[in-house]
Amino acid sequence: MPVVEMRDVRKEYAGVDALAGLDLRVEQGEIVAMLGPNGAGKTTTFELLLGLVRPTGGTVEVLGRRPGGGVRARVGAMLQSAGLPEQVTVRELVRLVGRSYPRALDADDVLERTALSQRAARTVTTLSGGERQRLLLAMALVGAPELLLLDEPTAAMDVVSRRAFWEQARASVEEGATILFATHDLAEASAVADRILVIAGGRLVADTTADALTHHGDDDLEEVFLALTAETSSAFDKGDD
Amino acid sequence: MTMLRPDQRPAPDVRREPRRNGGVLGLLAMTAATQVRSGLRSVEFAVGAIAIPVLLYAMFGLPNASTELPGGTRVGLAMLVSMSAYGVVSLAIFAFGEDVAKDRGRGWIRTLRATPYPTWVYLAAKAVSAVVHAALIVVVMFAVAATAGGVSLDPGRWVALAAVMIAGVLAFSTLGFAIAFVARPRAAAVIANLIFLPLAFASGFFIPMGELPDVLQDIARYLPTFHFGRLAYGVVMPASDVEYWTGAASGPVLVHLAWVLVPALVLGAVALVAARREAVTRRG
Repeated sequence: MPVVEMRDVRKEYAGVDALAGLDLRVEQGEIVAMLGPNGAGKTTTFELLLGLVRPTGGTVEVLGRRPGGGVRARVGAMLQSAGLPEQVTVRELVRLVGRSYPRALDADDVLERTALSQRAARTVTTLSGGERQRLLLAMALVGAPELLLLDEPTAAMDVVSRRAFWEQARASVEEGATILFATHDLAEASAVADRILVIAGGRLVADTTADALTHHGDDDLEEVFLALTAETSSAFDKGDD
Repeated sequence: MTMLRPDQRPAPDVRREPRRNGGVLGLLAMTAATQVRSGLRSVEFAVGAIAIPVLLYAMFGLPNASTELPGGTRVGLAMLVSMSAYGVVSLAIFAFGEDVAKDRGRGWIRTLRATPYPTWVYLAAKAVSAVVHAALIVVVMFAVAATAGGVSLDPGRWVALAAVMIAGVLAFSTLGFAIAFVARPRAAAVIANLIFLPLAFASGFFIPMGELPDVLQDIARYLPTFHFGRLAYGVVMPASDVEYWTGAASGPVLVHLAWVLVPALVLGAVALVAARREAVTRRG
């Protein structure tokens, strides 16, 4: 049974198709990267998988069930638009989110894993951009999820933080989790993911590996990506998704 | 990007075994405790919710504290009721209206919705933490009134007045929720001020109703805050002094109660509909 399955999914916002028949499938234990220009439908895909919005058409299944409701207890997520309350400490937030799951990891252990132990007693307002992202990862990990949905998770991170981030994400996969993440960083997708999905114009235009995409390194990944997405979308035409 | 080889990665340890959590009441208690601590860390709370009512009491209540109304009530006590009511209504409107709108605007409520965390627990915890904060405001106000204003009451009266004030924060919380979910997040603070300040002024929280223009006295009879004040004054003042202080004849307690509770229920329904509409339709 796939962990994530979307069949012919369409999502329309005020007459604009954010997704126009998206098909994708993620198997257990995979790390899958989702690439696409702004407006391609990446964030909409994550929102559908989390049950935050409903599809206009098609079928969405997460861990064999409709998204949202009880299945959220088995999913950890980092949203691109994630917000945090201001005067709450890092430890309080991780404990609070962990407490909402039926089973949770020890908050201090998760903070250690995400290199936030030194910041545990600090309030969110004092964190740097990278620390904030690590806190969001800690909140995604604390419920021991079977599926991690990460929307541009390393956007504000430096190289060291980014590497540490993916080490922890990898550790979760070794413990049985599956990861679907969106990124604009082609090198990151190539280095981290088992499989790369390229979406443009609300459709899947490639489902492959970085190696196959570049013909074993003969082609430039960025050029391949631009060629794949050029026909179906324009970042300036459609704006952010 | 270079990844660590499997043999370089940290080995899973026994602490990574997840532990089973308790029920939703435990989550509610933890959330409320977190929100109480969060409020106490905030300078805005200390100044806006506690210092301002105390300051207003010092300005408007203490200079005439020992003056007596015709029925024997000291002005210090009447102003204590007024400023405590000001404090708890302010807390209700701003803690629920402005703070929830901020959480909504910055995406915290949406972040929670991506977890198993029930949104109603967040809102219920806001109510619990507001009760705790209201109790703090009331205790500080009572302490100032008793020490600096010479206000003296039977223990039962202190408790009854505190109970009315704390019930008030819950009653007016639905107005805050309605502001939080109906207004755009950035506009919520302005709207909360636009609603709260005229309500407080026209309900006689700053100066006695009898000293307000007739037109405001007429309008006040239709304001839930005015009727909340009437209920609170009635707990510690004789009816004749309540009438003197508020410039209006006393009505049955049930009528005042209805003027407070019916708008609270209507606004609660409005807030629920708006919150539900946002949960279903909002994008991004």
